Amino acid sequence: MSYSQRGRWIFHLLAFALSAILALPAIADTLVLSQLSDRPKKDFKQLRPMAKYVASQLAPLGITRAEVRLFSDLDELVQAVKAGEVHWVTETPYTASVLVQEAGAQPVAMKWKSRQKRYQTLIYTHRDSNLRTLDDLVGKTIAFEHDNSFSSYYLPRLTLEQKGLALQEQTALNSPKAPAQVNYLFSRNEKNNLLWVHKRLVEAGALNDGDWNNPGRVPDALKSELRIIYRTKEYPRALELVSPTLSPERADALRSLLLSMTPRSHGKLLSRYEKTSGFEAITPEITGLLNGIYSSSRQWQQ
Amino acid sequence: MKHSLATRYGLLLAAMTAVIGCCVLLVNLFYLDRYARQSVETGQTHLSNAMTRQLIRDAELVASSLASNLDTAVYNHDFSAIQEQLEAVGSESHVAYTYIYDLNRRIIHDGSAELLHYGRPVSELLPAGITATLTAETVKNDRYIHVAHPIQSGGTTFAVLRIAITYSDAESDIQSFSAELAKESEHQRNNVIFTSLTVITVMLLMATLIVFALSQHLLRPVRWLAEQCRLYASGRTGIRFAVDRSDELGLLGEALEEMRRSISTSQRQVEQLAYHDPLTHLPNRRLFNEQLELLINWADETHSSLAVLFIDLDHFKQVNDVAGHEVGDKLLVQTANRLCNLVSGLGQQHKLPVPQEMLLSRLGGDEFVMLLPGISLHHELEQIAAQIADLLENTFTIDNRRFNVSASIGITLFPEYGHSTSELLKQADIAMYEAKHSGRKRHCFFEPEMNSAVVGKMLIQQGVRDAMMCDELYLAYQPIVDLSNDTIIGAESLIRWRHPERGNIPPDSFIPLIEKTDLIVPLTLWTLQRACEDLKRHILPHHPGFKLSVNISGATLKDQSIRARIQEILEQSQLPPDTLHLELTETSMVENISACADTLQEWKNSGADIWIDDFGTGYSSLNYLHSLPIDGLKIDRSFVQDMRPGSGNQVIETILALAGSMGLDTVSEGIETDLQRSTLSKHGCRYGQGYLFAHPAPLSDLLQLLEKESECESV
Repeated sequence: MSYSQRGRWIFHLLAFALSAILALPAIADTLVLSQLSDRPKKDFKQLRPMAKYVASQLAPLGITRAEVRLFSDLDELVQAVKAGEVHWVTETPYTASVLVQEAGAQPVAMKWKSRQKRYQTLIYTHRDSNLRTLDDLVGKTIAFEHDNSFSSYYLPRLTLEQKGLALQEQTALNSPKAPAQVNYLFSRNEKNNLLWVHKRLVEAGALNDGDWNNPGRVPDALKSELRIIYRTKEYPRALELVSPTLSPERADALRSLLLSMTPRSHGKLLSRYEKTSGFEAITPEITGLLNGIYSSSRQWQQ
Repeated sequence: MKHSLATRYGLLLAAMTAVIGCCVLLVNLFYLDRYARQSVETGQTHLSNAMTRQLIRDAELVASSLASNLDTAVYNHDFSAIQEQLEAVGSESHVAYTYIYDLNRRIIHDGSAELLHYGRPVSELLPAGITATLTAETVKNDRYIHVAHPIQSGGTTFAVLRIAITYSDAESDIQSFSAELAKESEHQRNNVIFTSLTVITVMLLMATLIVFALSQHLLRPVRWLAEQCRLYASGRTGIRFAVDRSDELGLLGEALEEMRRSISTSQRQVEQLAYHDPLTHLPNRRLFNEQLELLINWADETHSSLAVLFIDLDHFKQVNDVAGHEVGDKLLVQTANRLCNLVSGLGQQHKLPVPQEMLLSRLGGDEFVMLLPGISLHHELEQIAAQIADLLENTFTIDNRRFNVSASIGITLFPEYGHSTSELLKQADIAMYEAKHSGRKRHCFFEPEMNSAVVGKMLIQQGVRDAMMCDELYLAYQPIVDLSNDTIIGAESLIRWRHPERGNIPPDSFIPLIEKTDLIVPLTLWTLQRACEDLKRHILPHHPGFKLSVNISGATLKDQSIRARIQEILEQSQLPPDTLHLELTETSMVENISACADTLQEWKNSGADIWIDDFGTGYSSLNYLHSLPIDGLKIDRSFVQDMRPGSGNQVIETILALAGSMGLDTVSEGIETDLQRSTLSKHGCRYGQGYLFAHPAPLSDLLQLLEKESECESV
């Protein structure tokens, strides 16, 4: 861990302690919006205006102020939601599934992000690679981003397993590969994922289509030397969840408020809120989807 | 005073201050510039060195910390983490490149997002001279510091970080620093110029003020002295120059004061010399005139009278001639003393109202004047004149020799006769003259009728004196003929006066007057000289044997120096014998009979013949004829003109007989008729002279006559 990372941790700790102290007496009147974050500065800036706006809109319900609280650890987030310290979470489907299952959180809306209502995972190789199907990955290595990533871990892994392929985590790039399984390891982020494939440190990688189509993340120069060999099903991009401790009126009010926002009516606010382009009501299959994600993930962790 | 010393010194000092100030300023600026340039240069060098060292340290520090931070990322091939870190460093413009390569010297990361050089040999990317080392290395090359630092894990190197940092930024920093330094020095320089100029200006002003004040202070006494000098020069009295200072100005004051004293002393001496007779210390003619003027004014104002006594010593000249001028001077001093005593006595006796120093003056020679204010009675004045005469008649004893002189005194009175100084003095002089001519040792009161006669005489005397100077005199020659054949054998030279305004002045009107004065001596000498020249140069060359007669005044016999002078002229002329006749009157010879014989003999020896002029009119003593070396007689015209036809010419006959018996030649003067001529010829007179033959005429006429005669003879 570098000095800057260590510093960031210390900062988070202090910020958490401070907000916890500040939050205690006014907890009933403060609306707390949370997210897992490894980039707290950027995420804080993205969440803060929406939290303030929603708090102001919910003032008739006794909400006097808004707060953004970021978590680096999923378990902590789960505990906070459970304890009612966090009232509102905006997260990816995997985190949402954990929160639903372990903290009793309720999804209130699906969030369209960067004009993506849904997204899918792309499994790709180097253009010169002779891998053509997922089956060709046996005995090879595929790079996922990290074990919290929905699009670049749970979804592709789920997909591979659903295809009947067994996966085996490879400890390091140069460690030996299991010949009968699909070896995987984590590239930590999408950049490494891309470069590892491009520089042929691994045979395949997994990225969501949002990242793939973003030239900032996947430059055209590299993309032209890569080939997509598989596209998964589409999943909700993100979900808005509320803590079970939030009163039903407040939860309903929040849901209605979010669903009422359109790019036309709240364009700027939405855009700042993680480039949101709108909200969509929870459909019944979402619950099953989240349950599926949770159960498979629990299985892998065992 | 166009430019005072104060102004000049002020300007000089101001100029010096300005020049020195400017020199100092220039030197300052020169060294300041040099110092600034050097300090910028050395600053640049030092800074450059320091910055280079610092850069190297920084680069090494960056490389080492980067390498230690990157170990995990490199190990994990965490390209994004590596890129983040390299980007953080590489975003700095002074980082030229960052490379991470493995032990095969192939690129793991080149700092780019795309990682385009991944896997390439790093040597292809490194600049020339930089090797793909696997150990720590720092190379300074081509404006870059190239640092290699191994990336290790557990002491084992598994990759190498290479980073190049340019120091162009540092250089531009140095340059901007130098520029700032230069700007600062420029600023300092301007400050120095401004300050220096201000200081110089202030100094200039102060110097000018100080010099002005100082010079005012210093020059005030000088101006005062100059003013005193001007006042002194304008004749103001009571001027003093002493300055109460102990410096140079004090000295100047003292020197001027000394000069003033010296001038005063010499002024007094000059006054003494100018106004007093150095011999007798009596007032001289000039002071006498002033004093006389004062006394005239006094007499005029007090309606009083003033007597002027002109005292002239008789025979003083003889004392001078006989005993010498030194004795003459002593006699004059004694005379002055006697007269002073007299004046002193008179002053007490008559209670004269003026200081006695004013009363007696010496006008020159043996002339003294006594002024007696308030005395007008003739008998009183006669008494005083008698006292003077008695006083001076007493024998003078000088150098054990005894001398006797007497005094002739002329007296005149203000306001009876004269009213001005010149008039009174002239009257007194005339009266004295009259007294002297009436027999010396007398006194005489001025009378108006004396005036015209004496004045006429004096005018003539003065005129002759001037005529000699101005060449107005000339010689006329009256031929002397041989009565036997009427041929001209010689001529008598006669002096004539051609006055520029009055024309020819008849000889009778001035010669008798001159004969009574001392003027006759120079006139005789002049005549002799001129006659000798004419004879020798113009006559004798054509008419050898011509005889020229020259009249010699008896006065010349009285003075040894004059006699010698005549002798000298005769000797210088070197005339042939028997051509020059010197004519002297019987009277003059008889008066000086003792000296006469020898003198005449000497003259004779020098080639001159001696003739007696106007024979028969003087003493009738024939004795001297024997004792003197006489060559001939000239029979006075009065005898010729008294001649009667037939008989009654005994005097002439006797003279001719006498001459004949003594073997002397004879010339008859004043022959105007044939009868006179034939009668004289008959009685044995050999030569004749007179209007019958020719009037006196200039030399040219005589020469023509002689020419004509010699032509006749030759025919």
